[in-house]
Amino acid sequence: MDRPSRDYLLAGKRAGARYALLAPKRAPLGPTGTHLANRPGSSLEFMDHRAYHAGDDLRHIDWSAYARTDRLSIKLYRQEINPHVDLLLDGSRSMDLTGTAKAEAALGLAALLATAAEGAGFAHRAWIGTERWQPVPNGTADPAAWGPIALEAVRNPDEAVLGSPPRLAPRGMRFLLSDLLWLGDPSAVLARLADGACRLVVLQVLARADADPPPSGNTRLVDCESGQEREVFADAAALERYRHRLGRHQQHWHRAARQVGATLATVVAENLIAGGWDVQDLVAEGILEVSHR
Amino acid sequence: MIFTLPWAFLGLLAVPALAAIYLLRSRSRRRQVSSLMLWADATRAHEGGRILKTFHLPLLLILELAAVALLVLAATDPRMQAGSPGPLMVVLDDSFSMQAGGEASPRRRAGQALEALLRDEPDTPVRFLVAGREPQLLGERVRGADGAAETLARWQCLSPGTDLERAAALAAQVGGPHARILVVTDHPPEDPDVRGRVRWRAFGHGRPNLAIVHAARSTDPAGDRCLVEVANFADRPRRATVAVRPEESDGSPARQRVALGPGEREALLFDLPPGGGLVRAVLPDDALGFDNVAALLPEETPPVRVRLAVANEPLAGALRRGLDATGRARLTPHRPHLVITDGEPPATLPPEAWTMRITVDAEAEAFVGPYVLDRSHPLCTGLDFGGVIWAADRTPPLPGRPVVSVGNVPLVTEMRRGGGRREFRLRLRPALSNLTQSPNWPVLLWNLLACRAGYLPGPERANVRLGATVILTLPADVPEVEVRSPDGRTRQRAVHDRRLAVQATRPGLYEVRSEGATHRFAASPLAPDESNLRACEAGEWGRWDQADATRTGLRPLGWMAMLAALGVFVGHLALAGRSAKERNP
Repeated sequence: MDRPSRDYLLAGKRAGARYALLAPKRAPLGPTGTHLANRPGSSLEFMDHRAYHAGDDLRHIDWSAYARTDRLSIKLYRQEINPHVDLLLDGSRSMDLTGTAKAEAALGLAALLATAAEGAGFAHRAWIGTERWQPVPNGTADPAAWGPIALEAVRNPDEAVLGSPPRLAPRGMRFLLSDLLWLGDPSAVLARLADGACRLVVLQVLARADADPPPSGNTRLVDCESGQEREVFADAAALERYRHRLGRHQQHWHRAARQVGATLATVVAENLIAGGWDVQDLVAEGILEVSHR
Repeated sequence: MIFTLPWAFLGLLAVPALAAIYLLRSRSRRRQVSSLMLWADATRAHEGGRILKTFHLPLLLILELAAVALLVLAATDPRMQAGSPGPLMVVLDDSFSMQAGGEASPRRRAGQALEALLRDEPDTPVRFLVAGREPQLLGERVRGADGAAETLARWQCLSPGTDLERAAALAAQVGGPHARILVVTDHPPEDPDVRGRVRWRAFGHGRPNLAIVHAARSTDPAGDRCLVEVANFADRPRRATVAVRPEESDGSPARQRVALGPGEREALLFDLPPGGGLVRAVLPDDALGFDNVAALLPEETPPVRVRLAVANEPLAGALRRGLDATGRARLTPHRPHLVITDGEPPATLPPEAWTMRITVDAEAEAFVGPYVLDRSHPLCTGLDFGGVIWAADRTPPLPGRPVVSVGNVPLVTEMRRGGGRREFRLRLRPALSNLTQSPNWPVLLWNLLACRAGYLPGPERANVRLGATVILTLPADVPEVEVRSPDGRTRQRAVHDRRLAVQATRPGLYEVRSEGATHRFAASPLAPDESNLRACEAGEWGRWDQADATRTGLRPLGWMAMLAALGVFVGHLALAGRSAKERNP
């Protein structure tokens, strides 16, 4: 791994030490684990009572309560889970847009999430989406030990997701870090990623030039992935239309995310770095919590 | 096509500057983006789309360049020849000072300059005016030097003065608003700031000159006397001999030497034998020979023949004494010029006889004034009736136009008859009046005789200055005369109302011949202002290539360029608005 990428990971790791990953409320079913889930399960941790319904396990009837209230009630115990985090990093060239902090933010966020997961006792694995999704070398280890990550693919991540999906851990949490700037049906991609996951979080990492391009008059735009060029007159009206289309594109993704129960958040790379890796948006979304370690 | 302000073409430097600005401004900057998908509907700068869009930017640039070019063109004030060029009006100084210098005279040098000018402009219509005392058009409109040569040959510079300003004004009036005016003379303009379409060229040269500036001749039975005044228009003293040479007798010329300081004048008197005819006062040749000769004829004043038919003896005595005092009357009953009577005029009178009919009123009222005189009438010249008692009756009123009145009572009247005859009426009772004892009486009679003498056959003056108009009176039965001018040319002239006006345009002897009689008068230059050559100089004032001059005869095209530029601007606005609408639907 080249020096800048390593520095990005280290910066994300340092930032991630301040956070811990929150377990999802909709934890996957499973008899064993190291974490108590927010839903009833089979651990020894009492959670709540509820009225008995036909078919409930008779072993969970609280007879003491029946004696006191003459009603059958069931004791609920917290579910015990052992979550796994898969970090899917878009490896296309657009994630390393020249002149922007997009790569720094994407790699840093991946390291931040890995560190936060590790801090919460979650296992993690980093994936890089190029021609196909493949694990980052040494991606289950500390981010500082991750192997080389090259953001130079010319293929959109959806094609890899739909064509050769990664073997993600079942019932685990999945994070997709991408700029989502490709045409296609996001529902298919998100449905595939959400399948078998207890939680899917999509982090859209945009450069400031992506989110709010400056007016530049006559401009020859070059697609950093395909190399295609287009002459445009980037005046205020054109930029307004660009922002409008971007907003519609994001709405499209939000809609698809809601359909599959995923969470989608947008991060502007330059703002994130300038703000000292403050991810309060993710905290507010219940993805991260400030660590008290 | 010509451009009045060619330096405005410097404005074309804006064309490459505009193109450079346009190209630099429209040059695309390369920028890498994550994806082109969000730029799909952004306005394309150069490629694709409809034809209008394809040529959007170049067309705007072309329109702007065209507008700049048209504005520059308008700023140069382009002009096109409007049909024929504006005429060239040449004002020629006709004064005789243009003859000074002989072969190097301003007249000759000006002619050569005009020939060169007209050879350069062979298609320009030229009209000449001679500027004498009165400006006058010389010939018809001509083109080129060859066409002008014949006209210029008639420019002889014989006038005793010039009024170039009036001539230039007439040239501007005749030539119209597009005419160029060239003044050709031998002296600078009074105001050297000559502007507009007037160009002033002087070909003179300051020279010393001795000239006869005044000459007169008086005739007396004892002998004639000539007065010749000589002036030295030089910065140095001059000596010369003035000769008065009889032209029509065998007498030897009378000579006198004169020595004059710079700018001095001296009058010389020459006594001539009686009965001599034409004489010429002559100075030696110098820079200007024209003013070295003065021709003088005897000033003949023939007496007025008066028939006196007055019965009132006191009145008749007063009339005789008064007529004798004038010295111009000869009392005779035969072929009278004037009949003075206190009764009815004779039935048979010669046709040229005038009458003065005096009414002696039996009942009279003595008037002491106020007297009303028609001062425009020659009969009233020199009259002053202060203290005069004039006795007359109020009725019946005198017929005719009142010449002298007291209150509303006419005392002297005039009636004009055919053939130039006049009939005067006067009413007076001498016994109650002191008019005949006052000085007004001989004055009144002298005026009457002078008035009648002015209608005697012959010129009113025998010697005149060059340029003067001489009035000749001819007998009633002369309808036409032959006028012979000093250059020997003769012309037949019709006589109107016994009068003939002849302008002395050349110095020398004029003869007016009719059946049975020949009248003569002599003209001499006698113009000190023209003889003074010290102020003459050569130079040029005013230029035609100034804006006002060069616009003459050319149709301005700048407004067309401005209109075209305006159209281009409108097109540019429409196109720019349309493209903006396309970019921001």
